[in-house]
Amino acid sequence: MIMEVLCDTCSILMLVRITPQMFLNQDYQCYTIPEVHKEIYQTQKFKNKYPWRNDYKKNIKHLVFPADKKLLINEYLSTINLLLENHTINENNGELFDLSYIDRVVIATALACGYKICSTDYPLLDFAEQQFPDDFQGEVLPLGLLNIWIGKKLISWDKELENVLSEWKTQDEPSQTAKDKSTYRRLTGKKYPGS
Amino acid sequence: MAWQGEKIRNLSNDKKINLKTIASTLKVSRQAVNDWINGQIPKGQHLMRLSSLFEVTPAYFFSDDMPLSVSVPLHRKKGTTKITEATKQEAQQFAKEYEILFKANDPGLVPVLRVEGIEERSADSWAQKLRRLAGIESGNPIDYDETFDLLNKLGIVIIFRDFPTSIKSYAFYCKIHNHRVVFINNSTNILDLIFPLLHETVHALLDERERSLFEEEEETFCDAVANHMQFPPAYVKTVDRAISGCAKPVQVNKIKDFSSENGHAMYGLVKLLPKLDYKKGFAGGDQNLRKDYHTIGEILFKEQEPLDYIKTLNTFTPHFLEMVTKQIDKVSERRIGEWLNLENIIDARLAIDALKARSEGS
Repeated sequence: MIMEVLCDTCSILMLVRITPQMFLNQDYQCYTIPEVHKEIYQTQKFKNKYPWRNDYKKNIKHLVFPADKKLLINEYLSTINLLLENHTINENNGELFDLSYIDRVVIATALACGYKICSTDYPLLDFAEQQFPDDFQGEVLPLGLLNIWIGKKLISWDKELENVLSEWKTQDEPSQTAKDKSTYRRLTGKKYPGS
Repeated sequence: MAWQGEKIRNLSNDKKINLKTIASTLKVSRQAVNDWINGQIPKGQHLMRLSSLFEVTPAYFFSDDMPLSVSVPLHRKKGTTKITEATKQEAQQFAKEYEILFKANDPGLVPVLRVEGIEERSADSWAQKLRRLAGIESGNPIDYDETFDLLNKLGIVIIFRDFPTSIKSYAFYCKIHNHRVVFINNSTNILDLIFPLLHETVHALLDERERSLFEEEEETFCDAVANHMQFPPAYVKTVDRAISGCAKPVQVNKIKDFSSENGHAMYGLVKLLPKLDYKKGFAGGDQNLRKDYHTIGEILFKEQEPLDYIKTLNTFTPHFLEMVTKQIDKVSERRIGEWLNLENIIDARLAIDALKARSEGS
């Protein structure tokens, strides 16, 4: 089954230690963009929280787009900008959408390339779902993606990986859905250790 | 840019594509197309398909006008740099990043300055009133703490950012949803910051009056008030007396000492000294002086710790921080990071925790 996923910063930082091959092995069908790569590596803000991130520098490869794809991404991006400038409201909570530049590029790229988005940024996911319901391929949270990999036997689950997963809680990572938690339990026979 | 749904009808007439065809091509109801024509903005995917059908860009369906919610920014020139229309537009786009923040907060009643006259000769009385408001009793030049304090007393919101290289200024002023906002470029040396800040303050105060000055005149007036505020006549007289009769190198050194002691650039003072017959040649001295001072960005990020950063920010711009705090749970972490200009230095989530801790503690 083809399920290509565009990974946002938070999901990469949650998953790359568990699956260092996620951007190197085509079976994972994971991608990211230069802006996210830059956010992780060319800035210092994660240095305290993720001191290990430099060890994975070679593992996080970002996409390079051909001209026609760039054009389509830019078309989506300018449309997203127009909608946000005109105060689009989130139907889920009645709040105005206010997305950062990287959020916008993530959405535009996922739409232009037909990728799902792996993120824990809910306004970003809501915007894509509400404004582009037919074009948007959907979302998957980090635990959901992990479940898929375990299910496909791309990774074999062990105590060491579970320890990394436990850190999601200590690092105060966003909580995962009840459905993903229950799938995790079914697949591994263990209770999800995070929040 | 505002949505102009009637352009769909115009295009449908020009290109002879009726509304029924539009609806079926886009797989929406005829009513949906009518709603768009009558003012409802289509969803993103429909906007893109509409553009594709009529072979126009999505932006075609919006007016060219910039929203009135963000006024055209006013800049104090940096040296000989020209402020072009492109610079203003770029700065306006930059300011628009904060539209939602300001839209969500009511400015309430803003303090105004009751001073008659906005001619250059009134500049001194404006300056005196502002110095009194800032609580400056002495005849010394205003320092940067006093300057920030003045802006806060006037309810002017200060935002610190790293300006893109295309915006070549120390600071600019604009009004966002009726909030008076001064953006400060973090790379500005403290030595150079006070004058443009005072300049932008006068713009903000003039904004509460009916505008009767042309742009150039307003710039000149803002400069005049800022000059009088930063360098009160008594101070200028003291310096003038001190250098009077001295040889040129001694004069230069004395001016440098005054500048260093009072935290201002030599250039601004030199312009005001009546008996000094050479006004140029102080740029090198100012360059050397700058080495003893930090940029405002270096001051803000001195410790690189979220709690310290928020604490420092709160001393300079409490109004802004209060507004951001109210939005913590409504926008993404990344957005808070952009608003607070955290990139490169501090993790947004840690900064948010620090904001929450500060808010709960107060």
